[in-house]
Amino acid sequence: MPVKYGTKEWDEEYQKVVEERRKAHPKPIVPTPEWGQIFGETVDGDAEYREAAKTWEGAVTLVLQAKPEVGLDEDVSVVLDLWHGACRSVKILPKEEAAKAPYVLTGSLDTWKAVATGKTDAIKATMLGKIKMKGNMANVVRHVKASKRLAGCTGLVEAVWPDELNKDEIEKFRADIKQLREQFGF
Amino acid sequence: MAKGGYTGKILEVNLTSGEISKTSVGDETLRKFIGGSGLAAKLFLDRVSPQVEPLSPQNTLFIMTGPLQGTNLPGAGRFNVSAKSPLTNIWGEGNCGGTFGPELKFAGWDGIIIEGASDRPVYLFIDDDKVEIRDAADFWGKDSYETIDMLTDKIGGRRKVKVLAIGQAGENLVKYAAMIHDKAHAIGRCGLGAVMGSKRLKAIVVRGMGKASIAMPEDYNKARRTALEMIEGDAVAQAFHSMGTAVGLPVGMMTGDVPSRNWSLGENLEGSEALGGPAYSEKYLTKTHACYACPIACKRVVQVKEGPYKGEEQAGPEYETCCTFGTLIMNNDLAAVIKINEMCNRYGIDTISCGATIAFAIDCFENGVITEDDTEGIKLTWGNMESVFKVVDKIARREGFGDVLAEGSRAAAKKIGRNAADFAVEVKGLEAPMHDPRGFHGMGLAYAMSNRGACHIQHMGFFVEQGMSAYPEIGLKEDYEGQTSDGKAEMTMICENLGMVWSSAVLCIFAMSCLKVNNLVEFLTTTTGFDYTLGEMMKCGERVWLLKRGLNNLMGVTAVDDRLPKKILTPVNEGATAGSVPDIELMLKEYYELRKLKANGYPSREKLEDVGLSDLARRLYTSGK
Repeated sequence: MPVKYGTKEWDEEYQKVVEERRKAHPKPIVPTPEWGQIFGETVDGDAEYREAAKTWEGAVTLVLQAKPEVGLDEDVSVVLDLWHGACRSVKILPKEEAAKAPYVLTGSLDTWKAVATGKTDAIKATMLGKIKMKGNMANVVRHVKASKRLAGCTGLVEAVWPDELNKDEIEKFRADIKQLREQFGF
Repeated sequence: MAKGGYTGKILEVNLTSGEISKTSVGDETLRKFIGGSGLAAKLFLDRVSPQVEPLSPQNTLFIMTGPLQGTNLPGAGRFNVSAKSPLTNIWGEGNCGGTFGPELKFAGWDGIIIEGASDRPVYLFIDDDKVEIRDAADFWGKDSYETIDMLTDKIGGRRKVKVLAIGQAGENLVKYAAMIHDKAHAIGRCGLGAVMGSKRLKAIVVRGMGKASIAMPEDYNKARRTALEMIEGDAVAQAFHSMGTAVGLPVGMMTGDVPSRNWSLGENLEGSEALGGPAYSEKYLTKTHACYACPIACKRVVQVKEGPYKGEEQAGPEYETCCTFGTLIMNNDLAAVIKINEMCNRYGIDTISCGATIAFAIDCFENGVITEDDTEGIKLTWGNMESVFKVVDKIARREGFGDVLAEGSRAAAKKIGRNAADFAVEVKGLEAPMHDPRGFHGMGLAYAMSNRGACHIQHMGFFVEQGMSAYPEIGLKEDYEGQTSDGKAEMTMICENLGMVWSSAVLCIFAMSCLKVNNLVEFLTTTTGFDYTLGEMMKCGERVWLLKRGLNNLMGVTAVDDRLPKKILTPVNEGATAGSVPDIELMLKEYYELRKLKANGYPSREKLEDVGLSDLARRLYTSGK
């Protein structure tokens, strides 16, 4: 049943769904709401990140671009609510809302996986144009250690990437994301 | 035949006889060597004895544009100066932004060749095709800023002249004296300002009322538009635009690029935060500034409005200066760096060699190799800027201990003796710039093999190895791992070959870093009308590299000189590069094979002939080497 973003119902329903899905999927697929929550907890509990980001203010949106062949038919926007070293939440939001964040980083699924698995780092990927950044670059550069650690935290979450799914699993994932999209408007 | 890009005239000035003439270069030579440093090297081979004493009248200054100067292609505002270097005693060159290069082209000249030496101070005035050697007695002894202002006012005219001048350091033959252009840009490296000083040539002043010629205007415009779009969307260009080159400090400290405490400290976060792009922009930036027709506009204009370093609005320091007079000597006061940058610019001194030589001296002092007896009572300690200001002044005037340091760190170490050489970080006599090969091993190979000595900017290695640019179209990977030496020989060689092309076309490395190799092919083809293919263009790059290498061999360079200094081969204990050291022997072995260099460091005869350098081959192999 669709819920409208920005309402108390949306928040409550989202949290309820995340908790149910975490129990059902102990190793979540990227990018799902339950994966986002685990990622957020990982960042929030990371002492190195907390220290490096203690002066950081501002939400960061990670846009994972669509890749239909692995079940991701549309872009997904993951919003990290970051404040003075804390990660207060990580949620998948409607793209119009997510775009309002002061920092938006957009990349392909493959690029984000390369960053998460340590094959490349986020700074290099940004320099090469594989991640497009919107936001105050001076502030990002000032917090380059925090940015690097944040990207490193993605690799600490035990998760499955869509390109690791078999054919049946991809279709299941596609349907799952579609249903979540209809329910939560992302 | 070239249908554009070149004026077809090179100015020749003999300061001994006062003769002014012109020469030209055939199309075949232009096509093979392009212009800029490539053409300069070819002309040097043809005209100058490699055994020439760098500060003698026989040394020749080649001030060259490439076919792109005078167009409005992004990054085409630069020019090149080459000669035998008094600092290294081998091939020397520098590259400078601003507007001098385009103005020279507007005046109708592809370049200037300056031979001989005047018996009194002079300046050269080029007013389109009217060229005069004029008396410079009023300017001799003045710093470069004063000289530029006085000449600009004196000459006046409807169109403001562009000036390239030396300061007192060049007059006093400081071995790393620079040439300063319009108080904001420099031919910094290799001591070419001293070559100018040895000729008693105080300044070159240019005014040009013409315009560049373009062979294929419609295709040129398309190529230009494409390039502008690519630059606009490039993250590195955006970073340089918003924070200048000092943006490299905080990022570089994380990746292990930035050296501290004369290369002995692996991490200095306080330093990078205090001196880097964000702090710089917040505290002292008043506006930005661009070279001719450049959209990146990485140049900074700064002002320190209060405190002991309070001063006028002026050109701000670049990344290199923020490091050499910042992290390298453990100074975190950016206002002091701004002041010392001004001082070096006014005196006309290369901030890289000067800062690095002072860091060497501090390291010697801190380790007891020299004492206050050697330094006339100056306490050369880490972060002691009061002492640094005194030493820079002494260097420029060649007074006391400054006279020792004015020779460069290699010569100073030799004079000091004991184990002073352990603290000098130079290759072939040129002090290493501020990019740490322990973080990026390929940079170490580039330092060892660069034709002017340790150099980070005559090849694309810096951008490629650090993942800021990728050129798979010429065999370079997208994602090199910094702290490995495997595969870096091929990477370095290809980056050097590409570097020689843009150094000959004379395009800014920052623009090149945003583009692909085919963009450069299009620039050259549409400007000159030469139908370059990518393969032919890269062959030009390979040819130019081998030419410069061969010239160096004729000047005495051998395999023994292809080395890295002790500091760079000593691991640090902290930071991103802790424990890492480039395997220079491995990289050199692979590189020599790829470049077809013989065991003595000479390119093989077959290779030289393959790239069309038979004359050089003949000269290198006449004695049966």
